[in-house]
Amino acid sequence: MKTGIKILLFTAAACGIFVLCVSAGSVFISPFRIPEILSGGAGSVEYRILVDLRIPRILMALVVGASLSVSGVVFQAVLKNPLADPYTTGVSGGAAVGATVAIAFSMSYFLVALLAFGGSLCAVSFVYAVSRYRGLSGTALVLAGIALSVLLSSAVLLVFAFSRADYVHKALLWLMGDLSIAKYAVVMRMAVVSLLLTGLGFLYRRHLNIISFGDEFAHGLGVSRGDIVNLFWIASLLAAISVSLAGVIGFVGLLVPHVMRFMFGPDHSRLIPASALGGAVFLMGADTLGRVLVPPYDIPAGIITGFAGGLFFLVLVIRKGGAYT
Amino acid sequence: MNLFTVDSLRAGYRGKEVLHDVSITVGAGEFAAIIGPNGAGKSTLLRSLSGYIAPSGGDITFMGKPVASYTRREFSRELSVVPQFTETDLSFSVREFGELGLFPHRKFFDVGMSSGNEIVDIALEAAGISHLGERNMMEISGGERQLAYIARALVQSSSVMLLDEPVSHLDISHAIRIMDVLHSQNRQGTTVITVLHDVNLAAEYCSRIIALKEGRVFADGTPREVLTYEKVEELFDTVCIVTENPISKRPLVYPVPGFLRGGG
Amino acid sequence: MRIQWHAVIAPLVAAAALIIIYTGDDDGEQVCVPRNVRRVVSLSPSVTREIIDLGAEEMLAGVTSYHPPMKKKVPVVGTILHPNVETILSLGPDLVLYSEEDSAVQHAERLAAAGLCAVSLGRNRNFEEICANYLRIAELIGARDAGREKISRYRALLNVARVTEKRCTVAVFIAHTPLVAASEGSFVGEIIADSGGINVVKDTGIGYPILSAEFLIAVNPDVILSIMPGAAEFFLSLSGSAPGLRATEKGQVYTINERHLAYYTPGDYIAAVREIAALLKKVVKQDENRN
Repeated sequence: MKTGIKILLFTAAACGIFVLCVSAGSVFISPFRIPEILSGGAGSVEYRILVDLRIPRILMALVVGASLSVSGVVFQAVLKNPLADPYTTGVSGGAAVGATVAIAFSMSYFLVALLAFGGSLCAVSFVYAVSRYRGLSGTALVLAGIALSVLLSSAVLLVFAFSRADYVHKALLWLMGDLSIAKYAVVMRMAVVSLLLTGLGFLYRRHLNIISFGDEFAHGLGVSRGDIVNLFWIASLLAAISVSLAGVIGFVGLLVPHVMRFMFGPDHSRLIPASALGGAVFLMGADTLGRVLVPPYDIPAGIITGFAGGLFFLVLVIRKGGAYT
Repeated sequence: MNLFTVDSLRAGYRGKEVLHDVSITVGAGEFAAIIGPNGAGKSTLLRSLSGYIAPSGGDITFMGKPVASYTRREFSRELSVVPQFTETDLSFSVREFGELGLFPHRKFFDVGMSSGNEIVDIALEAAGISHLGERNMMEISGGERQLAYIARALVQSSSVMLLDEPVSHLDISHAIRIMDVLHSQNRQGTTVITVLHDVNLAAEYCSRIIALKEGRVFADGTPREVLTYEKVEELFDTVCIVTENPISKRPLVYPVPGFLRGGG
Repeated sequence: MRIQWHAVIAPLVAAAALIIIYTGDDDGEQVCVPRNVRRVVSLSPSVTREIIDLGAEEMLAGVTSYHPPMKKKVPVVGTILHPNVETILSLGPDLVLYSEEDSAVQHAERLAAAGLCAVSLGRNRNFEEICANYLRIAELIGARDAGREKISRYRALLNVARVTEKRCTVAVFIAHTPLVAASEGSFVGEIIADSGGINVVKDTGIGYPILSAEFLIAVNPDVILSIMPGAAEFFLSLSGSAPGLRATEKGQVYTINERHLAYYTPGDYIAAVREIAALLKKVVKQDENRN
């Protein structure tokens, strides 16, 4: 199938899924009635549901999904591992510790996000420093990240041990990913920051192609250590911002780039925009599924993506025997 | 004018110094081979020349300036490197892979380079793989892939090429094909410095052989000067016979198997 | 050195980004005054119970999944920690009540943002605070007089049930593995104090700390209470051979009814005090008979 047609079909499907997601929820609002509801003014309940609740939440899913996917794409290139996940560098572990501490001390949502972000950055900086000592090789980054993740999980459990039961419950819910507290102001600003970072990543698209072939190869072609550092931070920031605002939503950064690579090839000039769109749609769909499966209960998006991701890789292993695409 | 000047070089990896005192010069247009036993420091020397490893002592200059003083981009425009290992699980087409060689020549923000296409065409032609342009890198044979690596290097720089064991894992026909490509490039003016395992290939194709042993220069000169049986025996610590290739008149080294040495 | 510069600037830029994203975001506290409240959604089981207690059960338009027994089936709007804001909106309530004690505050903020009148009730750390919240609920749903009357009656009942003289030392557990006890400063601790018990687990800032078996043996209370079933057997096996626990030796380990402890209402508070006071009185009597 020609790439042009693939892109068209893909975008059309994305739009269709978007409309479906806006309609779906604990109250189904038919897509054909949406224009009249929106123009009808702030009075109706359905208007408030759409405008105050659903649309910001969907926008947040789009932004977070895109950010996590792009982060995954960049990490997979820098770590030279198509199975790398944005969380392998300690991003989620650090955020988990920060958020758990904030929740245990009953802090406001803003402070929870801020501490999560701070924790994220501390973890990433640590992993970076340790692996820089070892020349910033892909393996060093992964190992340092894994080691730190284990430490941080224990730290989270330690905080749990000393907290009230409902704080533990709250923290666990946060850890599962929660998009329901989306607000326009926050989402819009996050979108701007993510767009900037993704744009920067896109400027590095050729570097990313080259890095994937090996350290010495990339060095020989003129990709400097500084370039790799920049890319590392772009990916880490995208992931850290996503985690601090939406909790730990896994597999988006792992699964989407994988699928996009299969559909559009490994060239990052196509892979980056495709992953951004794919991630956005994937998370939006997962979040919507969480909303409609067992109303009125909301299944956290992170659980849906976790199941989807696990199943996907199981199928992959069975069909391909473990080889990447 | 000397392309590379290496003076009392000491270099190695974290915790281990591999090269202890290497001084050589390589002039433009040479076809030089670096040979030696395993662990002698051949790859280390090549990586020092390419700037991938920083020297821990001594100097390396390229075209008069220290290698470290070049920015990565500048340096990559002047010479290309074909490392020993390249990760290959990426499904680029041969042509797309070749285009990667244009990277150091592009401006950071530019969208595309139209003249680049011609350069890629010429390089694929020179490597003899024009017909493989649209094929996927993962689907072609090992030998063809190696030719693709060389094509990419040609795209990047056709003035200086550094290669680390380009043919060690290939069958004779592909090995010869690659050496032929390098030879023909050298004829057109490309300086080629390559690490080679096979001393006979080095003897046939190269104008200069640098032999390393235990991190030092053991011998340096033309194949005939370096490949005498005494030198080869001492270099590789094994019994051998050196004769002459009847066609090219270059030295030809035969190792003598242990069971024929009769208790020696 | 270029690389170190990156490592410092990047986090600063990142922090700036996050602060930009997040500040200027507080849309300010809006205090709504509900009038003619007819439909109420309660996001706290205790509040639900109090509304029923005030005789206003028909007003309940939505409750949380964990809720007290009710006469009619009322739509569930989600869990305590994660109520579904869309569902609540579609029920069209005049008032949404939630408690700082157990509700997810940020979801309540979404309610306010969506134009609903959402009112939060404060913590329930002791009987006085419970009463204050009770009266507030009564006022909000337009049952002020009924509320006042009930509260004065409850206060009277508590004065009767309350035991001022301290009778014996007590440890109260809300979990066995790990051993989670109610300390003096906690809500359950207040009930114990009002029941005439001396809590061996002093107030250290953590309301419900995890204890080690060693600590329990060291403080050796007269009575051990637990909300978990099978308390007697559990603590018997815990004390093992030697040195034993006084409470297990004398058979003064009891499982108490958690039904009343789960709700922060005046009625439940008094019922809990009554139950535990009676228990402790029995213990003291048994002790006296023994000696």
